[in-house]
Amino acid sequence: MVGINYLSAPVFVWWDVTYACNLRCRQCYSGSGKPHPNELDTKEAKSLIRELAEMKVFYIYFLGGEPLMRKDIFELAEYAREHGIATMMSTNGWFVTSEVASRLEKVGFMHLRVSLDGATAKTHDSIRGMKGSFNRAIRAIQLLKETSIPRIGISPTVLSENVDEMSALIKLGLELKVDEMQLVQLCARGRGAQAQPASIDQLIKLRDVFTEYKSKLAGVLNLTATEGISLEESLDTKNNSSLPDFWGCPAGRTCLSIEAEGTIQPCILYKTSADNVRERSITEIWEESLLFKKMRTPDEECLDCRYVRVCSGECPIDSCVDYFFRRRFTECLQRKGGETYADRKENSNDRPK
Amino acid sequence: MEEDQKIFQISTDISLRREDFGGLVFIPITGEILQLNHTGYDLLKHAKNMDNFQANSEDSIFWQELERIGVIREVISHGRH
Repeated sequence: MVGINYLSAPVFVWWDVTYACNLRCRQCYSGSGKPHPNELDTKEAKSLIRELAEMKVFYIYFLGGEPLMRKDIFELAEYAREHGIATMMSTNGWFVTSEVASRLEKVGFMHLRVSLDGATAKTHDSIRGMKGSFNRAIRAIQLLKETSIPRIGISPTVLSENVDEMSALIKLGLELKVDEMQLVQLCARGRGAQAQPASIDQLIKLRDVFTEYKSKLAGVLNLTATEGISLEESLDTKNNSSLPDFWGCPAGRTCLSIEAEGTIQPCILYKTSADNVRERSITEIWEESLLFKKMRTPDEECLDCRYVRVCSGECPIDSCVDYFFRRRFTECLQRKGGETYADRKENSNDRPK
Repeated sequence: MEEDQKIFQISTDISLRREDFGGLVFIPITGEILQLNHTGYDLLKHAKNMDNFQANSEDSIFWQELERIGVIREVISHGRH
């Protein structure tokens, strides 16, 4: 019997508050640039925040687009805090002046993450499609570090073009005294579909870099990575069978994403609509959406697996995550057929189909 | 038997949510989310509703762990009794 495999409400929501963006980053999963013509207005956004508060969602992660291009972003963030929801934001840093940094602090953000895709201006500006964007991002980090916002981080998307700079980028993060850094794997959505991903070989090397720095920097810089880069064995270290340690793809089970015009999706990268908050309450969508129900139902072939209670399987949309995921659990691999991660490491050149 | 008598305080604006399996605790300052069983969840929820609380020695390991990760902090120690 499958036990609890989703929460009573999301732990957090990703919210693309606008698709307006001043940059044209080549890895952008949302293909941002111009705003969507029918984005949620302030009143609708506040109504949604109230509903998230009633659900006891812990935090909202504001994304975009560039969230700071939305005129009411400070108002929405403050409103969320007033309703007991913590807030986090990703920004390209372009619009962060000392005044903006102060306002972000004042409205109670717990965590600001600045996108930084290279250790040099040449790499970063090339990926971001705008000269000067590296300097602006660095300035933003420095200004944000002067505030009392508890966590300031950076998040590079790993591409073929910058994968070899990750060590230097981690060192840059240390120089800037950031609190955390998340290496994000490219997802083939939006403009990201046309971007050149890192090869399996490059990712394998990066994993070694990541593993080395993660332990070396423990207590100094919290280094994390999305699946496909990180290989944390969370299940094997958990002995308390009474508690679910949700693992695998969390989409639709512990989190969801909200598009700028109110469409609800399992995650920011999984572009399939579960419904729209203009048509149905988000509580109802969480409970009743057929898409979410389907995602919470294990594959028949997984029913006899000892991890079925907590594991939702691999990311349904990213073949590289899938590739690494299947090699994480040998028994999963044996059931589904294929070679182990160790086998593959011996002789790997290509990204799996 | 001698025991430390410590008074604790919830030190962050943590958020709690009850689930079928137990409860979740969110610590905004670190972004961590803890999973507790129902007993632990009820203990913490009770403590959160008090300005200060005295930890029961039977639950000392539980409170030590929460102290370690910054959910609670000791405010007064009366020494040994």
